[in-house]
Amino acid sequence: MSLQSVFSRFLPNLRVIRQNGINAQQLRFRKRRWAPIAASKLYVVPPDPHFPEWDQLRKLEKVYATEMRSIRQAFVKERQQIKYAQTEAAEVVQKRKDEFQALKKLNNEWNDRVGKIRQERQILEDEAAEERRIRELIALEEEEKRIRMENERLVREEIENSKQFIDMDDIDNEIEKALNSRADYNFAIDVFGNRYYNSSQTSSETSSIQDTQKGS
Amino acid sequence: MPRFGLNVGLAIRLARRGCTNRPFYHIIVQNAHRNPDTGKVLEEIGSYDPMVNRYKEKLVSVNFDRLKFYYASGATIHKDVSHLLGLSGFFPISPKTIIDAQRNREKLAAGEKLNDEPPELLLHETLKSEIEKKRTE
Repeated sequence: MSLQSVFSRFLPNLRVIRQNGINAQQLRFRKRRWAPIAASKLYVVPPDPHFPEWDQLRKLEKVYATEMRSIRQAFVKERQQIKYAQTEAAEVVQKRKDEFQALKKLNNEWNDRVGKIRQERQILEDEAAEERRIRELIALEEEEKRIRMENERLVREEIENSKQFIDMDDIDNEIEKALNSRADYNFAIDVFGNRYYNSSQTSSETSSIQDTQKGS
Repeated sequence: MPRFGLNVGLAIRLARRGCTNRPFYHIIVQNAHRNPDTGKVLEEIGSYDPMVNRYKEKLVSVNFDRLKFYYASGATIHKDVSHLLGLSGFFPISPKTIIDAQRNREKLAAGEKLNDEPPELLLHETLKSEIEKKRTE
């Protein structure tokens, strides 16, 4: 069932004017759909809208269209020939090639010159990098050596200090020593640094206190 | 259909450039949706004077190179222009020309007067003889 017949059956006041993209146009009816044909128009055949030369004109138009199509093709070919003749002219091609070669040569010269400069610079840079590497290695070794010596020094000092450590063997002696050596801080002092102890204490005691203070 | 270029929406048509009672036409190229008499024109490629001169000639001028260019580009040629170009021999005779000629022949056979028959001009005797000379040649 075509779209036209669907429309005419279910939507009689719409007429499809384009099949593919469902475009419909509303039709206005002068009469109601059920009104009969007027008596005066009952068997009237409307005049043929085609003029007498209609068929002849259609045939002529077909022939004419074919001829014009071939003429258009001829024009297109002519223009294409002109265009390609212009683009593929041997002189132009040769000229373009020569120009390209000249430019290529110049470019190569530039590349060579720049390449030499770059090589020289590269050698210098490599040397500098090697030097720097060696310098860094030496510095690293020196740093390691310094750290090692520092550690050795620390160890030595610790060993030296460990001689004064108090062991469990002589801890009683050390306690005795500490108990026997007493410091007296009960003194006065003048602006010159002279100390004045209590008069009841002996001079030997004061001197011993001074000794211990100096040692501490 | 092969086309050279993309000027597909173009039309080659007549545009009236005369005044009242004095028609004169340019053969123009323009976009097909534009009005030939008032719209923008891409190029004038010719002219057409429909009023006969004293030698009973209707003068048409066409730049055929540009016509070729635009036709190869895909422009459509309207009926009036194709009629003129067919008569000039550049294109085949257009169907409209053939049918019109047929009708005119029938009219003449029936003894009727043609619509676009030019009126007899009032010319000087020497000019008339000149015209006769030209015609016979």
